[in-house]
Amino acid sequence: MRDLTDVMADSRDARATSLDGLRPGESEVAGLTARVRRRRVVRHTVEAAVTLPVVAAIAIGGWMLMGDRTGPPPVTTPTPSPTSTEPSPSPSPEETPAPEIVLGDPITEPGLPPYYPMPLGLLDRTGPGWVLGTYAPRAFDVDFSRWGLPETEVVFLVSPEGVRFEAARFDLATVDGTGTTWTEHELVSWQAGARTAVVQAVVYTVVTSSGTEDVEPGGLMTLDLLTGVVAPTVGDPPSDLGVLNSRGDLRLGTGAVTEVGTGTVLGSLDGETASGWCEPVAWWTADSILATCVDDDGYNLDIPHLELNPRLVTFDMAQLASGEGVILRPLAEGEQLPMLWGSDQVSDGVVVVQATTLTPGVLAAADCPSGVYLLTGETTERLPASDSHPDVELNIFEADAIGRTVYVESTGGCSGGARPSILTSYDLDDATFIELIGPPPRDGQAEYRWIQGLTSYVVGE
Amino acid sequence: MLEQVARERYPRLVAYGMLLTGSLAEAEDLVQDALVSTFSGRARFGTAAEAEAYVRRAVASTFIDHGRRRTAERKALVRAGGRAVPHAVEMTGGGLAPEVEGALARLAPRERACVVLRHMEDLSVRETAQLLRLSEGAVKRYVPDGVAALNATLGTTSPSEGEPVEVRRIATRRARRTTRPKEVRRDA
Repeated sequence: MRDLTDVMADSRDARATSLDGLRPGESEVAGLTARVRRRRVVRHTVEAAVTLPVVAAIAIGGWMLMGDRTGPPPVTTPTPSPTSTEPSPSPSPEETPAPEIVLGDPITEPGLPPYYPMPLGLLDRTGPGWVLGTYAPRAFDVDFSRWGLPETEVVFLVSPEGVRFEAARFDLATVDGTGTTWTEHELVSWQAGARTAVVQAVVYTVVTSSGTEDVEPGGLMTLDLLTGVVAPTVGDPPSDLGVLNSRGDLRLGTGAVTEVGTGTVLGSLDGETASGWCEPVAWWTADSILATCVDDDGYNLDIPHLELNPRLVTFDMAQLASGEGVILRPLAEGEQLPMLWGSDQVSDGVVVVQATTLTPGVLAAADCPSGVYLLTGETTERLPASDSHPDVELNIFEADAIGRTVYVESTGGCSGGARPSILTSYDLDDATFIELIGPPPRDGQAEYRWIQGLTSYVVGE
Repeated sequence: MLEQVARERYPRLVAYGMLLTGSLAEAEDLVQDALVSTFSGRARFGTAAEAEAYVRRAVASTFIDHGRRRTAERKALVRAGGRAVPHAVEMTGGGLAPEVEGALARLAPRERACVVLRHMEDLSVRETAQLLRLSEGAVKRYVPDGVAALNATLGTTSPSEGEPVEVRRIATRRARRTTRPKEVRRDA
């Protein structure tokens, strides 16, 4: 006698086969995208590995006052001494002596990493490399049965050395009287040194007992980082429709490259191609993309990744149109196979990717990223963000390369539960690795309960 | 990821939706609402397969929500003197899919959703109850009733409720790996 579960599954498969080729139209996809703002599941980690000393000092060089913002401002690494004697970089004899801001003890508060009040005058002296991050700590309820609600959202201003300052704060609990609806703010853009940042309001509503939250993206707003006041602004919310090349004239979306402005599709990796079943990774040059290709559709097959002969393949626009790319190199056991999303181009032929380490027997559909890597045509280098908390499994890595600095938000959720994420920076030239924003510290409970801290960030332009 | 799932996984998701609705058009509406619901949330996915598993759960949840709205609309029609239109089920063509969809369509919507989630997604009674906003007791009633009716119609068999449902398909294993806010267990 047939098994009901098998029969139902076979029925679904048969129906799916009969619907093969059914696709939502372009306008429908655009409509769906417009309704969606993806939020992030974040990942557990332990107490921040980098702790701030009791006293720190920041020396702000006169060079900043003179408008030289070619590099990050000279914030000293926190030291136990009450003042810093670090010289500011490249001062000239004519420059104003560097004013110093002496910080006292960092503030510790449940759910927040240690931080300092923002000193007057600091904001307008920030430069590229400074970061804004929104932080809305959230924890399981006492019996770990469901998420508690966030009560506070803090906007941190973070120096390139990882010193955090509170720029603004929102009391989420007072948004309405129900306790089930609140508005958070996602950072969209910020010009380093500017007093205001652009944020997008996002309204959350708990659907009682369903295990879900309705999320309604709102419009863009201007956040005054000195007063914490938000005001509506003009403009469209950002779109997740793809990544621009270095020239800004081509856009890499889900498998397809389109011309900016005209929307003309130059090529696509949709479905099977002459190079196999391929998925885009990142821009390889301004005119070519890097992709991974396998022999069959791994997602629909109960086949280990390694048996699908994974390889790195590049496609220029003509090759993309024909589907026939150039194999950069095959990937063998123990090597890293880049996974979708979270990748970024550093320079021509150099990308930072999240990737899985190819292991015999691991099914293509069951793989999770094992780390974040710097990948070239010949080499693959594991970056320290992969192991920023070695006793916690991090398995989602979203990289953002700005110049020669790689920012990585490391989190979990590919397998396992939601936990706070960690924002780190890594300088590719001097191999400096810094935790910029960590998870909520332990709060004395026997078991780590925090599931969310960092919710969005932008690097000052 | 939204675009990828919408383009590449659409037939499978709509097929799944048809188990619940029996109607292609309604299944498409259901899937599109579930896509918006899924990708509006905080969940993030390493693969399209994970996202698909998440969307499937949202499809079931949305189906019940649609049902609640339809019920309210029908009541409003009755109050206004109109005639409530029964939920239409497309029974096109022959073969296994219409047979199973037809059998499922004869179940009450909540029974249908409970059976699909328990048998296709391998959810526990508690998880099913939370997702559909039903009591656990209701799920415990709906599933055996629905399974018994399906077995009688389709000539199938199934482990009795309370016994673990064997995981038979990679799809259900994927579903287990999918993280979902508020469904994270203590041991996650």
